[in-house]
Amino acid sequence: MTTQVERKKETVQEETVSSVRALVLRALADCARKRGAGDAYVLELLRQGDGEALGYFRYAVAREAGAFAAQQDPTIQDVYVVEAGSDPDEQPRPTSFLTVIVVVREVTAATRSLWTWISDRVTAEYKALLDAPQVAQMGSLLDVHLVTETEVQQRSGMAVLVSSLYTPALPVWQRGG
Amino acid sequence: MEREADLLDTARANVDRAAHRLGLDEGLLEVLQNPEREITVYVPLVRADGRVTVFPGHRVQHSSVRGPCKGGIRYHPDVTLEETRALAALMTWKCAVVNIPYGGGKGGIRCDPTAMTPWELEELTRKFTRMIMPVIGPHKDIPAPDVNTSSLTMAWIMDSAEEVAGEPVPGIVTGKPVGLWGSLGREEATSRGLVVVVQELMRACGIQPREATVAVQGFGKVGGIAARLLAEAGYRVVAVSDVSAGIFRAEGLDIREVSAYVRDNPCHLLAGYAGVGVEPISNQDLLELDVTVLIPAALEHQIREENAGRVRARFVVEGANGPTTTAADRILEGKGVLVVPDILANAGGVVVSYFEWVQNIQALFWDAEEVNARLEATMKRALGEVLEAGRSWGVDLRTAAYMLALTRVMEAMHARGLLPRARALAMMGGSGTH
Repeated sequence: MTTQVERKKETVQEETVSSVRALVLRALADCARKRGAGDAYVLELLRQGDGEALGYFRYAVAREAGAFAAQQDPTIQDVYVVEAGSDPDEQPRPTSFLTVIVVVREVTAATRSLWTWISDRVTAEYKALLDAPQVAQMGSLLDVHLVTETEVQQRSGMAVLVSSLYTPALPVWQRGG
Repeated sequence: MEREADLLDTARANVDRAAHRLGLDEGLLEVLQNPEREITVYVPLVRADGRVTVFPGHRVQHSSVRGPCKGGIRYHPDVTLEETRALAALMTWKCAVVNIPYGGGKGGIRCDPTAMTPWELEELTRKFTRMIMPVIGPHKDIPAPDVNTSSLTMAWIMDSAEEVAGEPVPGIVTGKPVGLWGSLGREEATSRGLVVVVQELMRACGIQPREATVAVQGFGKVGGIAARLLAEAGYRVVAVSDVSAGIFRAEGLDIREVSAYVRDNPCHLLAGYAGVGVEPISNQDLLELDVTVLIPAALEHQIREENAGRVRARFVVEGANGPTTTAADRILEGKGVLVVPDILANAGGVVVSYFEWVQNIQALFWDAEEVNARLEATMKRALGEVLEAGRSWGVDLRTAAYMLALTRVMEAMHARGLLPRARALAMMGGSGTH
């Protein structure tokens, strides 16, 4: 019986891991479509550190990750991205992280754990995809911040970016959107 | 909606308070609160997949009485006319405070740039430019980069404008690439302006650099460069923070080493930095450090009603836009903390934009030293004038900055004969002329 449960758990984990791999590949395809090129060419651009390609790819990853997380967790309402730095000409590098703001009804241990897992898996898939020494050393591709709807209304902490006047976050996934 | 309401409330509250202190009546206030002109265009775009999408775009010109309108163009799904109006007004006051010959403008297109191809974005920019061409120009209204737009966007605007004009018009936008009529010194302009403000403030208060301690919230393009320049000038930068971590060392951080660490580590963040005697500090605790100067250079609304009472810095110099809420402002004022408002402290960027325009219309190129020297002179003069205005009017520096800005705009309106004569004279007699 225990073995059966463990096997089932393993199967679910494998399926979930392959879902994350699929979302990263969908992001690559989205980036390729926007660049009007093939996946292989865009992958080479990412490896070379092409800022525009990296930008599109990372947004697509955040959008896909948001949709994936929201399927598992109904408390997730919106997902936003923020580019670090105030210089509009600053382009992302292969090792740059992307700040992701996840608006939830309430922050629970389950939601935290889900996003930690997604972030780790996405980073692992990204490292495997780019297969470059500099990327292998980086921390996480996604710098995830969970904020509540109340914090958004109160404009406190990172939640201020959701309704920021000067550096507004970009919505990449919205429930019902 | 939240954003608009908040923006309008804060912007109007600052202007209202200044107008009240100047004794302006409702009619004049209404003139100052409303834009001169606004244009909304609907830009049709054939998408990469053959669909046609229409994007609403705006350009608002709040005031041109002191010179051509100046302000950025942003691309964001939440762009609205209401928000663009308020941001245009802020540009009028910012340009007037530092006394550069510009009025205020702002523009934007409601679009999601992450969902568009590079070619769609370029075509959208070019079409938008052609549609607003009747109201922009080097002597009418000069856009610049803003949220989700860059030097590349400005290059497209300039190129499209030149196609329409049939001649070079480099002064039609600022924030262009350096290789295409852009200015040297733009990248560090906001930080350099901020540092000049801190240095002048310390000098005015008789505080030597080595006696002053500084905490900087935000170690990005503004805060990071400002921390480096202040450390080079002999200030003891005791704490810095970014989104990943905060670090503190009472004897002062080795900012050169910290900057090198951030530059070289794969994530380009402070997290993991471990210098001798360096302790971790939270973003919140950094704001409450007992330092001479606190520079909030990260996000809006960091100093709020809940924590303003615990701020122990003698001076707050706002590197970010809107880091102090209106309620917190009153608390800091009650505690005797001198706040140098964002409208002045982080105006270095728009000052160097002005220099870019000056170089463009004269077809001259200044070296970085000349740009920096002129920036220093402009910021020094502006801080001196705001300090003097605060003293003579007996108000906090934010109110003084707005009063000074309003007065300058009113003076220009009066000189142009746009104000009732008796009222204008009374206003200027009552306030003193700056």
